[in-house]
Amino acid sequence: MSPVIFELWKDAFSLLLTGAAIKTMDDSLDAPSAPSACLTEQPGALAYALLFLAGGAGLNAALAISLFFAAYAIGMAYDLTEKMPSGLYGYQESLLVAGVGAALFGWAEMLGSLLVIACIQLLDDLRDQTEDRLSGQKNLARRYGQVEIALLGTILLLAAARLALVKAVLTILASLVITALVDHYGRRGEERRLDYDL
Amino acid sequence: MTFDAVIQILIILLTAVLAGYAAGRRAGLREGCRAGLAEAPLQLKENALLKGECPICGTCPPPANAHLVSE
Repeated sequence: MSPVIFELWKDAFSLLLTGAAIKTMDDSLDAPSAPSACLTEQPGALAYALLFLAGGAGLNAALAISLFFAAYAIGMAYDLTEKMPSGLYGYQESLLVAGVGAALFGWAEMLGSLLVIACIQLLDDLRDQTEDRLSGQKNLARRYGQVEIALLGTILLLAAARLALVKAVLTILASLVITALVDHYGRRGEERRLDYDL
Repeated sequence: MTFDAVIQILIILLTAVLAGYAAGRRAGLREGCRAGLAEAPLQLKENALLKGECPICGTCPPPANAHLVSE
């Protein structure tokens, strides 16, 4: 296998593991008290999130950690004025984490990660409009309109591709794979639980 | 034309489309609200006068020969 192809596979696996870590952390923060059939929503899932992140960072530290920082910064930016356990407001934590990421990995790496994660977040909002309406969670597609958010997501993706094409494409692909896996196993587990309850 | 230049042009074009669409939709919503508010009282009066529909609860009184129809 040529070194370039080997590096690509390494990056792809690193992204898959980091994506799994982000998804697991996100789901366990969203529903910490509701045990679910899906691994990412179970109460002890945070330990798996750390394991996935360590694996991803072992394969490509700059890629994995900058994406994780970006996911944290974007996630906290959703609760701009909410006070976090650290005592800082959401936007202050976002700026701090993005700044630390830029200092550690360079502004281009961090900006690329922020752009691609923001794009994934917008795509997620477009997909989850009905669920978010029922659960009362913040959703930018419902607030600002579907077309606006779809256009903004495309612009962010193009900007991310301009900075780092391979990283942007691989990250979007990894997010699609993880979403499909979580949907598949989540639904299968839910069906099994319903069968058991009946 | 290089890949970067194509991407830059696309970003500029899409940003312009986004700005135009967002501004137009919001202006349209405001305009629609104003038109609806102006139209609603006339529509309510018309329904009250022509169909006897109550402008507050929206119900219509039963027709004068309703008891004959039910029998």
